[in-house]
Amino acid sequence: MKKLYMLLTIISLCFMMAGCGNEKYEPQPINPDVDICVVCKMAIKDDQYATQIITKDGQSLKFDDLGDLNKWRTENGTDNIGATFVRDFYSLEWIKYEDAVYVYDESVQTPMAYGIVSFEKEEDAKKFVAEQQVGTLMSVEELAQHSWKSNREHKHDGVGHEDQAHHSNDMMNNHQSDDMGSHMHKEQKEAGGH
Amino acid sequence: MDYKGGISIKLKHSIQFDYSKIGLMLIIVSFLFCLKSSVVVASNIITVDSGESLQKIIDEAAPNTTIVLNQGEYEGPITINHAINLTTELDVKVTLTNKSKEAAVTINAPHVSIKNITVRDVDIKEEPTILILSDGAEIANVQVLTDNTGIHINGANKGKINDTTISSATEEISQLYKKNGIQIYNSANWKLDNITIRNMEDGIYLERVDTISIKNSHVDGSRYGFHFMFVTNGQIENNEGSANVTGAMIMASSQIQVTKNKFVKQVENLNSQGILLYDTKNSTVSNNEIDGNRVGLYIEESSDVTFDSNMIKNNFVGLQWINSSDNTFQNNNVIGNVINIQSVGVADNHINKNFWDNASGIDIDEDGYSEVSYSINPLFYGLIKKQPPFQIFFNSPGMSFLESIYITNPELWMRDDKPKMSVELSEDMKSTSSNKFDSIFISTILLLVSFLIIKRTRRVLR
Repeated sequence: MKKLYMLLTIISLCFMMAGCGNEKYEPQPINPDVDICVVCKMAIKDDQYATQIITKDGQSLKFDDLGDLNKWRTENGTDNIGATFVRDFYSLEWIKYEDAVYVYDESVQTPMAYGIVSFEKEEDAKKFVAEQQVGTLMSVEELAQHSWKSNREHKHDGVGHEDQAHHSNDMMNNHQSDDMGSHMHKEQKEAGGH
Repeated sequence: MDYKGGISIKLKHSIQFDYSKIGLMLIIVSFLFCLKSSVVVASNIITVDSGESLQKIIDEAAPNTTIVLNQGEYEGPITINHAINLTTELDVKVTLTNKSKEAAVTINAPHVSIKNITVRDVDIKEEPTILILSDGAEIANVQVLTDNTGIHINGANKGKINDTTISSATEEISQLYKKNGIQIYNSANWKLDNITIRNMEDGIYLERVDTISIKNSHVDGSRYGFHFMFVTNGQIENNEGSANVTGAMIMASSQIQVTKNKFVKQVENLNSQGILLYDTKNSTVSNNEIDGNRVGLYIEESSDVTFDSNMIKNNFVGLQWINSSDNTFQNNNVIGNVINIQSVGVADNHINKNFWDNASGIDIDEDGYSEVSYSINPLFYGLIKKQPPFQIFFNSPGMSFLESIYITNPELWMRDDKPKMSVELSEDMKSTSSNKFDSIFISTILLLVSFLIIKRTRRVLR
């Protein structure tokens, strides 16, 4: 009987230890009224560009752009990070940073102009690139090698207004969210590389 | 040879002979020219009644035609594909109502002007109410009632908007569904003057804009009053922002002049500020009144910015200054804030000659400035930045004790080397104050007159 108790205790301890090793980090919902980006202090919309880090002590650090999340990781290191989450561009579901597929193009407008959007499935990323006719697919490993340049230049050269009008209308129809110009605009490329 | 000579002689004679006639003819020709040009101008004005199809008239109008709308209701949407002026006679009320999913007004051609009308957008949609895609557009004295983006400008240069009001068509619309009042993308050389924006998302939102001035405008009840993203060479002058989340939000921009503005009572949101500067370079913030906000002036990752002669008063936190260097902060008045300043990572700034109401100083040489510097201990702010709940220890005896023993690297603290001994208002601030005194003086006289009238009336009644 004593041996049985001992065995049960050991099994319970094993389970507890196993549980400790598998601590679950869950993403928290975005509240646009109070949540601001940890890096740039801008209000975060509950949209496809929001990202977050859950620290090992359970704090949720939210960002309005994947570029700002990367800035925080670079400045603060990754030792205290429990989990990192990004959003699927289409469904807005939270997905793990490591599992996502990324698309970059300088003409993809994101809140801080880093031009990267994330997808749960590779086929959705490819669909996005086909729709927008721009973008390079990246895995999380390729993302680590990315230059992380924020595309902030004013590129209008005052020509091709007819084209621009047309493309801007396209852009207005395509955009997913109105915040921070968070929509696709193809006109810069198509109007002849301003 | 003779023949030629003969002609020349004849011509000479005829010219001398017909001087008066030629003069008369010239006058007649000039008159005809004037008449002709006036006829051209007259033929370029078209008057429209409210029952007519505005789009058809616009499409058929010759370039540079002025279309004058008579009083009444007109139906949108309209698209303008060549230069026209759409206006009304003075004191005539014209409303263009749009029930479609398209923009109420789309400007696709250079040099279009729209004046003196009300544009009302009924539906909620992605498209803006007024969409400007071409250079040289002018919007003047227009009222926009919308739950969509009021005016969206994309890739259009050298335009101006003045005397225009944009407000939400639905008073109770949630902040989540609000859109920007005016948003300008990828454009240059815009002048905005006397704009009033109420109850929108961002009052005026700019992204990738080069050279813009915003003057004499007012934004309230919105998220950010004036929101600059990636702007070069911008001017925000003599504007007012109240009851917004943040008055002016200047981000990733350079060569921005923020002068003579008034940002008051941005307090209702947890993240409210008067002015926020993030990643802003080579700019000036001067002669602003930043009064009664949660945080008056927030500065992060900004450099080569001069803060001069601002009045920062009655805020919960006057200044929050984070990781910013090579800035100049001088001649400012920091008064009556619960916490005057919180700072961390602020070495290498030039801070002097400011008035801090909680600074203790001694002016030995009587030059108006203290010989004792004013330093800000970063311990408390560093602590609450990592652990926000520790804010409960603000001004607690334990925290004061900890601050008194925490003197690590004082050379890295924010320090005013020569704090001012008394408040000194700049000329601009003085004029504002004198205006206030004027109004107090007038109010007092009115009050006295009222008392006299009441007293006389009582006597008469007796």
